[in-house]
Amino acid sequence: VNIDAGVLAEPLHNASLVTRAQAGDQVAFTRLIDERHQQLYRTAWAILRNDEDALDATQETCLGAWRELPRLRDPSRFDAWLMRSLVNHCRTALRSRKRVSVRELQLETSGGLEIPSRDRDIGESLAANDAIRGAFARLNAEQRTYLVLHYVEHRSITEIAAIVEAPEGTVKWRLSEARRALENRLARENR
Amino acid sequence: VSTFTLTDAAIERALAPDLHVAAPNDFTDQIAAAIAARPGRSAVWLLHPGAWRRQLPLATRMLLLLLLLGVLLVGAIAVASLQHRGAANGHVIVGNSTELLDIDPETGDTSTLVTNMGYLFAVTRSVDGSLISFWTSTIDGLALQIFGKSGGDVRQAATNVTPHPVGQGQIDVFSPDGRSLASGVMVGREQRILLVDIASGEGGLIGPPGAGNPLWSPDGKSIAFSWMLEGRSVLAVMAADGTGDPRVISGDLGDLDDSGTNNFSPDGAWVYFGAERNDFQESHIFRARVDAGGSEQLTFDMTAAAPALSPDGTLVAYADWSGSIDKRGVWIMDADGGNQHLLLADAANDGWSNDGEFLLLEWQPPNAPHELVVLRPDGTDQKTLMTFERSCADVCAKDLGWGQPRP
Repeated sequence: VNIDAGVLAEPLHNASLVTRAQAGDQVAFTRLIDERHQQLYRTAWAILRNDEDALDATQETCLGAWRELPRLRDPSRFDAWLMRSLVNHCRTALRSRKRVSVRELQLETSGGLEIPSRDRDIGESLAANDAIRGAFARLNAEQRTYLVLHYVEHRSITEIAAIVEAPEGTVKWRLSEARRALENRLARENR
Repeated sequence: VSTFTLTDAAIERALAPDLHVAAPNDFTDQIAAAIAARPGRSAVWLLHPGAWRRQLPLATRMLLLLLLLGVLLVGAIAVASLQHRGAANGHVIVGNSTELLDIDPETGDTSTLVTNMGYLFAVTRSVDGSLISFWTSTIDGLALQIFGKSGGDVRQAATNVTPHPVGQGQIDVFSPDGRSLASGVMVGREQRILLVDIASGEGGLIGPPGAGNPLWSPDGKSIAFSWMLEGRSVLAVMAADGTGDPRVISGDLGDLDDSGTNNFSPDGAWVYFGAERNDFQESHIFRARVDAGGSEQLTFDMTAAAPALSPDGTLVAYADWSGSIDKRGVWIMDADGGNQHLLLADAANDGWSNDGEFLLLEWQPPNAPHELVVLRPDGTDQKTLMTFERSCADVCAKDLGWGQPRP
Protein backbone atom coordinates (compact mmCIF):
# COMPACT_ATOMS: atom_id res chain seq x y z
CA VAL A 1 0.00 0.00 0.00
CA ASN A 2 1.55 3.23 -1.06
CA ILE A 3 -0.45 6.27 -0.16
CA ASP A 4 1.44 9.51 -0.44
CA ALA A 5 1.60 10.33 3.22
CA GLY A 6 3.33 13.57 2.42
CA VAL A 7 0.23 14.81 0.72
CA LEU A 8 -2.25 13.34 3.07
CA ALA A 9 -0.46 13.58 6.37
CA GLU A 10 -2.52 15.39 8.95
CA PRO A 11 -1.81 15.44 12.68
CA LEU A 12 -4.50 14.60 15.14
CA HIS A 13 -5.56 18.19 15.42
CA ASN A 14 -8.96 19.45 16.29
CA ALA A 15 -10.50 18.59 12.96
CA SER A 16 -9.45 15.01 13.45
CA LEU A 17 -10.86 14.96 16.96
CA VAL A 18 -14.07 16.42 15.63
CA THR A 19 -14.25 13.78 12.94
CA ARG A 20 -13.68 11.04 15.45
CA ALA A 21 -16.36 12.51 17.65
CA GLN A 22 -18.70 12.66 14.66
CA ALA A 23 -18.09 8.98 14.19
CA GLY A 24 -19.20 8.32 17.76
CA ASP A 25 -15.89 8.44 19.59
CA GLN A 26 -16.95 9.70 23.01
CA VAL A 27 -13.38 10.04 24.21
CA ALA A 28 -12.58 12.41 21.38
CA PHE A 29 -15.69 14.42 22.11
CA THR A 30 -14.89 14.61 25.81
CA ARG A 31 -11.44 15.90 24.95
CA LEU A 32 -12.92 18.57 22.73
CA ILE A 33 -15.25 19.69 25.48
CA ASP A 34 -12.60 19.54 28.15
CA GLU A 35 -10.53 22.05 26.23
CA ARG A 36 -13.41 24.43 25.70
CA HIS A 37 -15.94 24.28 28.49
CA GLN A 38 -14.40 26.98 30.65
CA GLN A 39 -14.44 29.48 27.83
CA LEU A 40 -17.98 28.50 26.95
CA TYR A 41 -19.08 28.90 30.54
CA ARG A 42 -17.48 32.31 30.94
CA THR A 43 -19.03 33.53 27.71
CA ALA A 44 -22.42 32.28 28.82
CA TRP A 45 -21.95 33.92 32.18
CA ALA A 46 -21.01 37.21 30.57
CA ILE A 47 -24.23 37.17 28.57
CA LEU A 48 -26.57 35.75 31.22
CA ARG A 49 -24.93 37.20 34.34
CA ASN A 50 -25.61 34.34 36.73
CA ASP A 51 -24.08 30.97 37.56
CA GLU A 52 -27.12 28.76 37.20
CA ASP A 53 -28.19 29.97 33.79
CA ALA A 54 -24.63 29.94 32.52
CA LEU A 55 -24.18 26.36 33.62
CA ASP A 56 -27.48 25.32 32.06
CA ALA A 57 -26.58 26.96 28.77
CA THR A 58 -23.12 25.42 28.71
CA GLN A 59 -24.40 21.95 29.52
CA GLU A 60 -27.14 22.15 26.93
CA THR A 61 -24.65 23.38 24.38
CA CYS A 62 -22.30 20.47 25.00
CA LEU A 63 -25.02 17.83 25.00
CA GLY A 64 -26.58 19.37 21.92
CA ALA A 65 -23.20 19.37 20.24
CA TRP A 66 -22.90 15.64 20.80
CA ARG A 67 -26.30 15.04 19.25
CA GLU A 68 -25.87 17.37 16.31
CA LEU A 69 -22.21 16.87 15.54
CA PRO A 70 -22.74 14.52 12.58
CA ARG A 71 -24.48 17.41 10.82
CA LEU A 72 -21.40 19.60 10.94
CA ARG A 73 -20.05 19.65 7.41
CA ASP A 74 -16.68 21.20 8.05
CA PRO A 75 -14.84 19.99 11.16
CA SER A 76 -12.53 23.00 11.03
CA ARG A 77 -15.53 25.18 11.84
CA PHE A 78 -16.29 23.31 15.03
CA ASP A 79 -15.41 26.19 17.34
CA ALA A 80 -17.59 28.72 15.56
CA TRP A 81 -20.37 26.15 15.35
CA LEU A 82 -20.10 25.40 19.08
CA MET A 83 -20.08 29.07 20.00
CA ARG A 84 -23.11 29.67 17.79
CA SER A 85 -24.93 26.96 19.67
CA LEU A 86 -23.98 28.51 22.99
CA VAL A 87 -25.15 31.92 21.88
CA ASN A 88 -28.46 30.45 20.78
CA HIS A 89 -28.92 28.74 24.11
CA CYS A 90 -28.18 31.99 25.88
CA ARG A 91 -30.75 33.78 23.75
CA THR A 92 -33.30 31.12 24.52
CA ALA A 93 -32.58 31.40 28.20
CA LEU A 94 -32.98 35.15 28.15
CA ARG A 95 -36.24 34.99 26.28
CA SER A 96 -37.82 32.22 28.27
CA ARG A 97 -36.83 32.88 31.85
CA LYS A 98 -38.68 35.74 33.40
CA ARG A 99 -36.62 35.46 36.53
CA VAL A 100 -33.80 37.02 34.59
CA SER A 101 -35.69 40.26 34.36
CA VAL A 102 -36.27 40.16 38.11
CA ARG A 103 -32.56 40.02 38.61
CA GLU A 104 -32.11 42.85 36.19
CA LEU A 105 -34.44 45.06 38.15
CA GLN A 106 -32.50 44.31 41.29
CA LEU A 107 -29.34 45.45 39.65
CA GLU A 108 -30.83 48.75 38.73
CA THR A 109 -32.17 49.72 42.10
CA SER A 110 -28.73 50.37 43.57
CA GLY A 111 -29.41 54.10 43.12
CA GLY A 112 -27.25 57.05 43.93
CA LEU A 113 -24.90 56.51 41.05
CA GLU A 114 -22.49 59.20 40.18
CA ILE A 115 -22.22 58.93 36.47
CA PRO A 116 -19.18 60.63 35.06
CA SER A 117 -19.68 63.31 32.49
CA ARG A 118 -19.19 62.96 28.74
CA ASP A 119 -15.48 63.58 28.80
CA ARG A 120 -14.57 61.13 31.54
CA ASP A 121 -14.17 57.41 31.35
CA ILE A 122 -17.30 55.95 32.75
CA GLY A 123 -15.45 52.82 33.78
CA GLU A 124 -13.34 54.53 36.38
CA SER A 125 -15.50 53.67 39.33
CA LEU A 126 -17.26 50.63 40.67
CA ALA A 127 -20.48 52.56 40.48
CA ALA A 128 -19.88 53.06 36.81
CA ASN A 129 -19.37 49.33 36.41
CA ASP A 130 -22.70 48.75 38.10
CA ALA A 131 -24.32 51.29 35.86
CA ILE A 132 -23.01 49.60 32.75
CA ARG A 133 -24.10 46.21 34.03
CA GLY A 134 -27.53 47.55 34.84
CA ALA A 135 -27.89 49.02 31.39
CA PHE A 136 -26.56 45.83 29.84
CA ALA A 137 -29.21 43.84 31.72
CA ARG A 138 -31.85 45.92 29.96
CA LEU A 139 -30.61 44.99 26.51
CA ASN A 140 -32.11 42.25 24.45
CA ALA A 141 -30.43 38.91 23.86
CA GLU A 142 -28.95 39.83 20.53
CA GLN A 143 -27.47 43.07 21.76
CA ARG A 144 -25.93 41.35 24.75
CA THR A 145 -24.44 38.71 22.54
CA TYR A 146 -22.76 41.15 20.19
CA LEU A 147 -21.31 43.22 23.01
CA VAL A 148 -19.91 40.22 24.84
CA LEU A 149 -18.42 38.61 21.76
CA HIS A 150 -16.71 41.81 20.71
CA TYR A 151 -15.80 43.68 23.87
CA VAL A 152 -15.33 40.79 26.28
CA GLU A 153 -14.25 37.96 24.00
CA HIS A 154 -12.34 40.33 21.70
CA ARG A 155 -13.59 38.49 18.65
CA SER A 156 -13.15 40.13 15.31
CA ILE A 157 -16.02 41.09 13.05
CA THR A 158 -15.11 38.15 10.84
CA GLU A 159 -15.24 35.74 13.76
CA ILE A 160 -18.56 37.09 14.98
CA ALA A 161 -19.95 36.83 11.47
CA ALA A 162 -19.00 33.16 11.43
CA ILE A 163 -20.64 32.58 14.79
CA VAL A 164 -23.92 34.34 14.10
CA GLU A 165 -23.92 33.39 10.43
CA ALA A 166 -24.44 36.92 9.19
CA PRO A 167 -22.55 39.07 6.70
CA GLU A 168 -19.77 41.15 8.17
CA GLY A 169 -21.58 44.33 7.22
CA THR A 170 -24.60 43.20 9.19
CA VAL A 171 -22.43 42.35 12.16
CA LYS A 172 -20.85 45.81 12.12
CA TRP A 173 -24.26 47.45 12.02
CA ARG A 174 -25.70 45.29 14.78
CA LEU A 175 -22.67 45.78 16.96
CA SER A 176 -22.95 49.49 16.47
CA GLU A 177 -26.62 49.36 17.33
CA ALA A 178 -25.92 47.31 20.44
CA ARG A 179 -23.37 49.79 21.66
CA ARG A 180 -25.70 52.68 20.93
CA ALA A 181 -28.44 50.88 22.85
CA LEU A 182 -26.12 50.50 25.81
CA GLU A 183 -25.28 54.18 25.72
CA ASN A 184 -28.93 55.15 25.47
CA ARG A 185 -29.82 52.90 28.38
CA LEU A 186 -27.13 54.48 30.48
CA ALA A 187 -28.36 57.91 29.59
CA ARG A 188 -31.99 57.03 30.24
CA GLU A 189 -31.29 55.49 33.62
CA ASN A 190 -29.48 58.57 34.82
CA ARG A 191 -31.70 61.39 33.76
CA VAL B 1 -29.85 64.91 30.17
CA SER B 2 -26.64 63.06 30.81
CA THR B 3 -24.82 61.49 27.94
CA PHE B 4 -21.91 59.15 28.20
CA THR B 5 -18.86 58.23 26.27
CA LEU B 6 -18.16 54.56 26.78
CA THR B 7 -14.68 53.30 26.16
CA ASP B 8 -14.09 49.75 24.98
CA ALA B 9 -12.10 49.11 28.14
CA ALA B 10 -14.94 50.29 30.34
CA ILE B 11 -17.37 47.91 28.69
CA GLU B 12 -14.96 45.03 29.04
CA ARG B 13 -14.19 45.88 32.65
CA ALA B 14 -17.86 45.97 33.54
CA LEU B 15 -18.99 42.93 31.61
CA ALA B 16 -16.10 40.49 31.80
CA PRO B 17 -16.70 37.73 34.33
CA ASP B 18 -14.61 37.88 37.48
CA LEU B 19 -11.72 35.47 37.72
CA HIS B 20 -13.65 33.23 40.09
CA VAL B 21 -16.34 32.58 37.47
CA ALA B 22 -15.68 29.05 36.30
CA ALA B 23 -17.54 25.91 35.40
CA PRO B 24 -17.56 23.13 38.01
CA ASN B 25 -14.43 20.99 38.10
CA ASP B 26 -16.39 17.89 37.19
CA PHE B 27 -18.16 19.52 34.25
CA THR B 28 -16.52 17.33 31.62
CA ASP B 29 -17.17 14.21 33.67
CA GLN B 30 -20.84 15.13 33.88
CA ILE B 31 -21.04 15.62 30.12
CA ALA B 32 -19.26 12.33 29.51
CA ALA B 33 -21.67 10.54 31.81
CA ALA B 34 -24.66 12.19 30.19
CA ILE B 35 -23.74 11.25 26.64
CA ALA B 36 -22.96 7.72 27.73
CA ALA B 37 -26.37 7.44 29.34
CA ARG B 38 -28.46 9.13 26.68
CA PRO B 39 -29.76 7.41 23.58
CA GLY B 40 -28.39 10.47 21.90
CA ARG B 41 -28.20 10.95 18.21
CA SER B 42 -31.31 9.31 16.83
CA ALA B 43 -32.59 12.35 14.98
CA VAL B 44 -29.21 12.92 13.47
CA TRP B 45 -28.74 9.37 12.34
CA LEU B 46 -32.06 9.60 10.62
CA LEU B 47 -30.99 12.60 8.62
CA HIS B 48 -27.67 11.21 7.49
CA PRO B 49 -27.87 7.58 6.48
CA GLY B 50 -24.18 6.88 6.51
CA ALA B 51 -24.06 7.60 10.18
CA TRP B 52 -26.13 4.57 11.02
CA ARG B 53 -23.04 2.50 10.68
CA ARG B 54 -20.65 4.49 12.83
CA GLN B 55 -21.32 3.83 16.39
CA LEU B 56 -20.37 4.59 19.92
CA PRO B 57 -18.15 2.21 21.78
CA LEU B 58 -16.40 2.67 25.12
CA ALA B 59 -18.26 1.76 28.29
CA THR B 60 -17.57 -1.77 29.33
CA ARG B 61 -21.15 -2.37 30.27
CA MET B 62 -22.17 -1.33 26.82
CA LEU B 63 -19.81 -3.84 25.30
CA LEU B 64 -21.36 -6.53 27.42
CA LEU B 65 -24.75 -5.39 26.26
CA LEU B 66 -23.56 -5.43 22.67
CA LEU B 67 -22.38 -8.97 23.00
CA LEU B 68 -25.77 -9.93 24.31
CA LEU B 69 -27.46 -8.09 21.49
CA GLY B 70 -25.19 -9.82 19.02
CA VAL B 71 -26.37 -13.17 20.25
CA LEU B 72 -29.97 -11.99 20.01
CA LEU B 73 -29.32 -10.68 16.51
CA VAL B 74 -27.99 -13.99 15.34
CA GLY B 75 -31.02 -15.76 16.66
CA ALA B 76 -33.46 -13.21 15.32
CA ILE B 77 -31.94 -13.14 11.88
CA ALA B 78 -31.87 -16.90 11.78
CA VAL B 79 -35.57 -17.00 12.57
CA ALA B 80 -36.31 -14.25 10.10
CA SER B 81 -34.29 -15.95 7.41
CA LEU B 82 -36.33 -19.06 7.81
CA GLN B 83 -39.43 -16.98 7.30
CA HIS B 84 -37.95 -15.33 4.24
CA ARG B 85 -36.00 -18.21 2.82
CA GLY B 86 -35.38 -17.69 -0.83
CA ALA B 87 -34.57 -14.01 -0.53
CA ALA B 88 -31.01 -13.98 -1.81
CA ASN B 89 -29.77 -11.14 0.27
CA GLY B 90 -26.45 -12.62 1.29
CA HIS B 91 -24.70 -12.26 4.57
CA VAL B 92 -24.94 -9.26 6.80
CA ILE B 93 -21.85 -7.64 8.22
CA VAL B 94 -22.54 -6.22 11.64
CA GLY B 95 -20.01 -4.11 13.45
CA ASN B 96 -20.26 -3.69 17.18
CA SER B 97 -17.53 -1.04 17.33
CA THR B 98 -14.77 -3.43 18.35
CA GLU B 99 -15.27 -6.29 15.93
CA LEU B 100 -16.87 -7.11 12.63
CA LEU B 101 -19.20 -10.09 12.53
CA ASP B 102 -20.36 -11.97 9.45
CA ILE B 103 -23.86 -13.33 9.88
CA ASP B 104 -25.51 -15.74 7.50
CA PRO B 105 -29.20 -14.93 7.72
CA GLU B 106 -30.09 -18.30 6.25
CA THR B 107 -28.39 -20.39 8.91
CA GLY B 108 -27.62 -17.92 11.66
CA ASP B 109 -23.96 -18.92 11.50
CA THR B 110 -21.76 -16.16 12.78
CA SER B 111 -18.05 -15.66 12.42
CA THR B 112 -15.74 -12.94 13.60
CA LEU B 113 -14.02 -11.21 10.70
CA VAL B 114 -11.97 -8.57 12.48
CA THR B 115 -11.16 -7.88 16.09
CA ASN B 116 -8.50 -6.15 18.20
CA MET B 117 -8.06 -3.25 15.83
CA GLY B 118 -9.43 -0.47 17.99
CA TYR B 119 -12.67 1.30 17.32
CA LEU B 120 -14.16 0.26 13.98
CA PHE B 121 -16.64 2.25 11.92
CA ALA B 122 -17.87 2.98 8.40
CA VAL B 123 -18.08 -0.55 7.04
CA THR B 124 -18.48 -0.83 3.27
CA ARG B 125 -18.54 -3.81 0.94
CA SER B 126 -17.72 -4.16 -2.70
CA VAL B 127 -20.58 -4.90 -5.04
CA ASP B 128 -19.75 -8.61 -5.24
CA GLY B 129 -19.16 -8.77 -1.51
CA SER B 130 -15.59 -9.99 -1.87
CA LEU B 131 -13.95 -6.91 -0.34
CA ILE B 132 -14.72 -5.06 2.84
CA SER B 133 -13.38 -1.70 3.89
CA PHE B 134 -13.68 0.00 7.21
CA TRP B 135 -12.06 2.70 9.28
CA THR B 136 -10.20 2.23 12.54
CA SER B 137 -9.59 4.74 15.26
CA THR B 138 -6.77 4.06 17.68
CA ILE B 139 -4.44 6.09 19.80
CA ASP B 140 -2.21 6.28 16.75
CA GLY B 141 -4.90 7.90 14.67
CA LEU B 142 -7.33 6.99 11.93
CA ALA B 143 -6.72 4.51 9.16
CA LEU B 144 -8.59 3.09 6.20
CA GLN B 145 -8.44 -0.71 6.10
CA ILE B 146 -9.33 -3.19 3.37
CA PHE B 147 -9.53 -6.94 3.48
CA GLY B 148 -10.85 -9.77 1.40
CA LYS B 149 -13.98 -11.48 2.54
CA SER B 150 -12.52 -14.83 1.57
CA GLY B 151 -9.66 -14.45 3.98
CA GLY B 152 -6.25 -12.86 4.23
CA ASP B 153 -4.77 -10.11 6.29
CA VAL B 154 -6.28 -6.72 6.68
CA ARG B 155 -4.40 -4.23 4.56
CA GLN B 156 -3.98 -0.66 5.59
CA ALA B 157 -4.98 1.47 2.63
CA ALA B 158 -4.30 4.87 4.09
CA THR B 159 -3.13 6.37 7.34
CA ASN B 160 -3.02 9.89 8.68
CA VAL B 161 -6.16 10.54 6.71
CA THR B 162 -9.31 11.90 8.21
CA PRO B 163 -12.51 10.47 6.75
CA HIS B 164 -15.09 13.02 5.85
CA PRO B 165 -17.86 13.78 6.06
CA VAL B 166 -18.80 11.40 8.80
CA GLY B 167 -22.50 11.14 9.21
CA GLN B 168 -23.41 12.60 5.85
CA GLY B 169 -23.60 9.76 3.42
CA GLN B 170 -21.07 7.26 2.30
CA ILE B 171 -17.44 7.67 3.24
CA ASP B 172 -16.16 4.86 1.06
CA VAL B 173 -17.56 3.30 -2.08
CA PHE B 174 -16.11 0.52 -4.17
CA SER B 175 -16.17 0.81 -7.92
CA PRO B 176 -18.62 -1.57 -9.63
CA ASP B 177 -15.70 -3.77 -10.76
CA GLY B 178 -14.29 -3.88 -7.24
CA ARG B 179 -10.89 -2.65 -8.36
CA SER B 180 -10.97 0.78 -6.78
CA LEU B 181 -12.19 2.39 -3.62
CA ALA B 182 -13.18 6.04 -3.41
CA SER B 183 -13.26 7.74 -0.04
CA GLY B 184 -14.24 11.15 1.21
CA VAL B 185 -11.37 12.49 3.30
CA MET B 186 -10.14 15.71 4.78
CA VAL B 187 -6.78 17.02 3.66
CA GLY B 188 -5.92 19.96 5.78
CA ARG B 189 -9.12 21.93 5.90
CA GLU B 190 -10.51 20.77 2.61
CA GLN B 191 -12.60 17.76 1.81
CA ARG B 192 -11.20 15.68 -1.02
CA ILE B 193 -11.81 12.35 -2.68
CA LEU B 194 -9.14 9.69 -2.24
CA LEU B 195 -8.98 6.98 -4.90
CA VAL B 196 -7.20 3.74 -3.99
CA ASP B 197 -6.31 0.99 -6.43
CA ILE B 198 -7.07 -2.21 -4.56
CA ALA B 199 -4.53 -4.42 -6.29
CA SER B 200 -1.51 -2.15 -6.17
CA GLY B 201 -2.35 -0.12 -3.14
CA GLU B 202 -1.54 3.04 -5.05
CA GLY B 203 -3.65 5.97 -4.02
CA GLY B 204 -4.11 9.60 -4.78
CA LEU B 205 -6.47 12.50 -4.57
CA ILE B 206 -8.80 13.07 -7.47
CA GLY B 207 -11.25 15.75 -8.42
CA PRO B 208 -11.42 19.32 -7.25
CA PRO B 209 -10.83 20.61 -3.73
CA GLY B 210 -14.07 20.54 -1.78
CA ALA B 211 -15.23 17.24 -3.28
CA GLY B 212 -16.72 14.58 -1.00
CA ASN B 213 -19.43 11.90 -0.79
CA PRO B 214 -18.22 9.96 -3.83
CA LEU B 215 -20.73 7.70 -5.58
CA TRP B 216 -19.84 5.51 -8.56
CA SER B 217 -22.10 5.41 -11.57
CA PRO B 218 -23.42 1.93 -12.41
CA ASP B 219 -21.09 1.66 -15.41
CA GLY B 220 -18.11 2.71 -13.35
CA LYS B 221 -17.18 5.50 -15.75
CA SER B 222 -18.02 8.48 -13.61
CA ILE B 223 -18.31 9.55 -10.01
CA ALA B 224 -21.01 11.77 -8.59
CA PHE B 225 -19.99 13.79 -5.59
CA SER B 226 -20.91 16.64 -3.28
CA TRP B 227 -18.88 19.72 -3.98
CA MET B 228 -18.36 22.68 -1.70
CA LEU B 229 -18.43 25.50 -4.20
CA GLU B 230 -18.34 29.09 -3.02
CA GLY B 231 -19.72 28.17 0.34
CA ARG B 232 -22.58 26.07 -0.98
CA SER B 233 -22.81 22.32 -1.39
CA VAL B 234 -23.80 21.24 -4.89
CA LEU B 235 -23.99 17.92 -6.69
CA ALA B 236 -21.50 17.29 -9.50
CA VAL B 237 -20.11 14.50 -11.65
CA MET B 238 -16.65 13.85 -13.03
CA ALA B 239 -14.78 11.12 -14.83
CA ALA B 240 -13.99 8.16 -12.58
CA ASP B 241 -10.27 8.92 -12.70
CA GLY B 242 -10.89 12.52 -11.76
CA THR B 243 -9.65 13.95 -15.03
CA GLY B 244 -11.41 16.72 -16.88
CA ASP B 245 -13.59 19.42 -15.47
CA PRO B 246 -16.32 18.44 -13.04
CA ARG B 247 -19.85 19.30 -14.06
CA VAL B 248 -22.49 20.57 -11.64
CA ILE B 249 -25.75 18.70 -12.15
CA SER B 250 -27.89 19.72 -9.20
CA GLY B 251 -29.01 22.97 -10.82
CA ASP B 252 -30.77 25.63 -8.77
CA LEU B 253 -31.65 24.31 -5.32
CA GLY B 254 -32.75 27.68 -3.96
CA ASP B 255 -31.41 28.09 -0.46
CA LEU B 256 -30.92 24.36 0.00
CA ASP B 257 -27.58 22.57 0.04
CA ASP B 258 -26.96 19.10 -1.23
CA SER B 259 -26.60 16.86 1.81
CA GLY B 260 -24.78 14.00 0.13
CA THR B 261 -25.07 11.70 -2.83
CA ASN B 262 -27.36 8.79 -2.18
CA ASN B 263 -28.13 6.66 -5.20
CA PHE B 264 -27.61 6.42 -8.92
CA SER B 265 -30.60 5.04 -10.75
CA PRO B 266 -29.75 1.63 -12.26
CA ASP B 267 -29.59 3.15 -15.75
CA GLY B 268 -27.25 5.88 -14.58
CA ALA B 269 -29.60 8.62 -15.74
CA TRP B 270 -30.42 10.10 -12.33
CA VAL B 271 -28.77 10.71 -9.01
CA TYR B 272 -31.15 10.79 -6.06
CA PHE B 273 -30.11 13.00 -3.20
CA GLY B 274 -31.35 15.02 -0.27
CA ALA B 275 -30.95 18.75 0.10
CA GLU B 276 -31.44 20.79 3.21
CA ARG B 277 -31.44 24.34 4.40
CA ASN B 278 -28.59 25.41 6.59
CA ASP B 279 -30.79 25.52 9.68
CA PHE B 280 -32.16 22.04 8.93
CA GLN B 281 -35.73 23.32 9.13
CA GLU B 282 -36.38 22.34 5.54
CA SER B 283 -35.23 19.29 3.65
CA HIS B 284 -36.44 17.63 0.48
CA ILE B 285 -35.66 14.77 -1.86
CA PHE B 286 -34.42 15.63 -5.33
CA ARG B 287 -33.18 13.77 -8.34
CA ALA B 288 -30.65 15.28 -10.71
CA ARG B 289 -30.33 14.55 -14.41
CA VAL B 290 -26.84 13.28 -14.98
CA ASP B 291 -26.58 14.17 -18.66
CA ALA B 292 -28.52 17.39 -19.00
CA GLY B 293 -28.15 18.68 -15.46
CA GLY B 294 -30.88 20.21 -13.33
CA SER B 295 -32.92 18.68 -10.56
CA GLU B 296 -36.49 17.64 -9.99
CA GLN B 297 -37.86 18.20 -6.51
CA LEU B 298 -39.77 15.10 -5.47
CA THR B 299 -41.04 15.99 -1.98
CA PHE B 300 -42.58 19.27 -0.89
CA ASP B 301 -44.71 19.21 2.22
CA MET B 302 -42.49 17.42 4.65
CA THR B 303 -39.01 17.28 6.05
CA ALA B 304 -37.76 14.48 3.87
CA ALA B 305 -34.27 13.03 3.77
CA ALA B 306 -32.18 9.93 3.15
CA PRO B 307 -33.63 8.66 -0.13
CA ALA B 308 -32.96 5.01 -0.81
CA LEU B 309 -33.71 3.80 -4.32
CA SER B 310 -34.87 0.23 -4.70
CA PRO B 311 -32.43 -2.01 -6.56
CA ASP B 312 -34.67 -2.02 -9.64
CA GLY B 313 -34.97 1.76 -9.52
CA THR B 314 -38.76 1.88 -9.31
CA LEU B 315 -39.34 2.96 -5.72
CA VAL B 316 -37.76 5.40 -3.31
CA ALA B 317 -37.90 4.89 0.43
CA TYR B 318 -37.17 7.98 2.43
CA ALA B 319 -37.40 9.37 5.90
CA ASP B 320 -39.49 12.17 7.27
CA TRP B 321 -38.88 13.66 10.65
CA SER B 322 -41.39 16.49 10.56
CA GLY B 323 -42.30 17.59 14.03
CA SER B 324 -40.93 15.77 16.98
CA ILE B 325 -38.64 12.82 16.74
CA ASP B 326 -41.47 10.58 17.89
CA LYS B 327 -43.51 11.45 14.80
CA ARG B 328 -41.01 10.45 12.22
CA GLY B 329 -41.68 7.75 9.73
CA VAL B 330 -40.55 5.99 6.62
CA TRP B 331 -42.34 6.93 3.42
CA ILE B 332 -42.25 5.43 0.01
CA MET B 333 -42.88 6.86 -3.44
CA ASP B 334 -42.47 6.04 -7.08
CA ALA B 335 -39.15 6.93 -8.64
CA ASP B 336 -40.72 10.01 -10.26
CA GLY B 337 -42.14 11.25 -6.96
CA GLY B 338 -45.67 9.95 -7.45
CA ASN B 339 -47.79 7.94 -5.05
CA GLN B 340 -46.18 9.19 -1.86
CA HIS B 341 -47.46 7.39 1.19
CA LEU B 342 -46.45 6.49 4.69
CA LEU B 343 -45.01 3.01 4.96
CA LEU B 344 -44.36 2.81 8.69
CA ALA B 345 -44.72 5.50 11.33
CA ASP B 346 -42.15 5.97 14.05
CA ALA B 347 -39.51 4.32 11.95
CA ALA B 348 -36.19 5.06 10.30
CA ASN B 349 -34.97 3.60 7.07
CA ASP B 350 -31.98 1.28 6.87
CA GLY B 351 -32.22 0.35 3.20
CA TRP B 352 -33.37 -2.27 0.79
CA SER B 353 -32.61 -5.94 0.64
CA ASN B 354 -30.54 -6.86 -2.35
CA ASP B 355 -33.46 -8.52 -4.08
CA GLY B 356 -35.67 -5.50 -3.48
CA GLU B 357 -38.29 -7.61 -1.75
CA PHE B 358 -37.86 -6.08 1.68
CA LEU B 359 -36.92 -2.91 3.47
CA LEU B 360 -34.94 -3.01 6.67
CA LEU B 361 -36.24 -0.48 9.16
CA GLU B 362 -35.69 0.56 12.70
CA TRP B 363 -39.14 0.76 14.25
CA GLN B 364 -39.47 2.98 17.27
CA PRO B 365 -43.03 2.69 18.57
CA PRO B 366 -43.79 5.14 21.39
CA ASN B 367 -43.17 3.84 24.88
CA ALA B 368 -41.95 0.49 23.61
CA PRO B 369 -38.62 -1.09 22.85
CA HIS B 370 -37.17 -0.40 19.44
CA GLU B 371 -37.15 -3.15 16.88
CA LEU B 372 -35.16 -3.94 13.80
CA VAL B 373 -37.80 -5.09 11.33
CA VAL B 374 -38.21 -6.05 7.72
CA LEU B 375 -41.33 -5.53 5.70
CA ARG B 376 -42.31 -5.46 2.09
CA PRO B 377 -42.69 -2.13 0.30
CA ASP B 378 -46.45 -2.69 0.22
CA GLY B 379 -46.44 -2.75 4.01
CA THR B 380 -47.07 -6.45 4.44
CA ASP B 381 -45.06 -9.22 6.07
CA GLN B 382 -43.57 -7.14 8.84
CA LYS B 383 -41.16 -9.28 10.80
CA THR B 384 -39.05 -8.41 13.80
CA LEU B 385 -35.39 -9.33 13.57
CA MET B 386 -34.33 -8.08 16.93
CA THR B 387 -35.45 -5.89 19.79
CA PHE B 388 -33.34 -3.41 21.65
CA GLU B 389 -33.92 -0.92 24.40
CA ARG B 390 -32.23 2.01 22.72
CA SER B 391 -31.60 3.33 19.26
CA CYS B 392 -29.87 0.91 16.97
CA ALA B 393 -27.73 3.84 15.97
CA ASP B 394 -26.06 3.58 19.34
CA VAL B 395 -25.43 -0.11 19.44
CA CYS B 396 -24.92 -1.59 16.01
CA ALA B 397 -23.18 -0.83 12.75
CA LYS B 398 -24.54 -2.52 9.67
CA ASP B 399 -22.97 -2.71 6.28
CA LEU B 400 -26.14 -1.79 4.50
CA GLY B 401 -25.29 0.63 1.79
CA TRP B 402 -28.45 2.59 1.09
CA GLY B 403 -29.22 1.09 -2.23
CA GLN B 404 -25.73 -0.08 -2.93
CA PRO B 405 -26.05 -3.61 -4.30
CA ARG B 406 -24.81 -6.25 -1.98
CA PRO B 407 -24.54 -10.00 -2.28
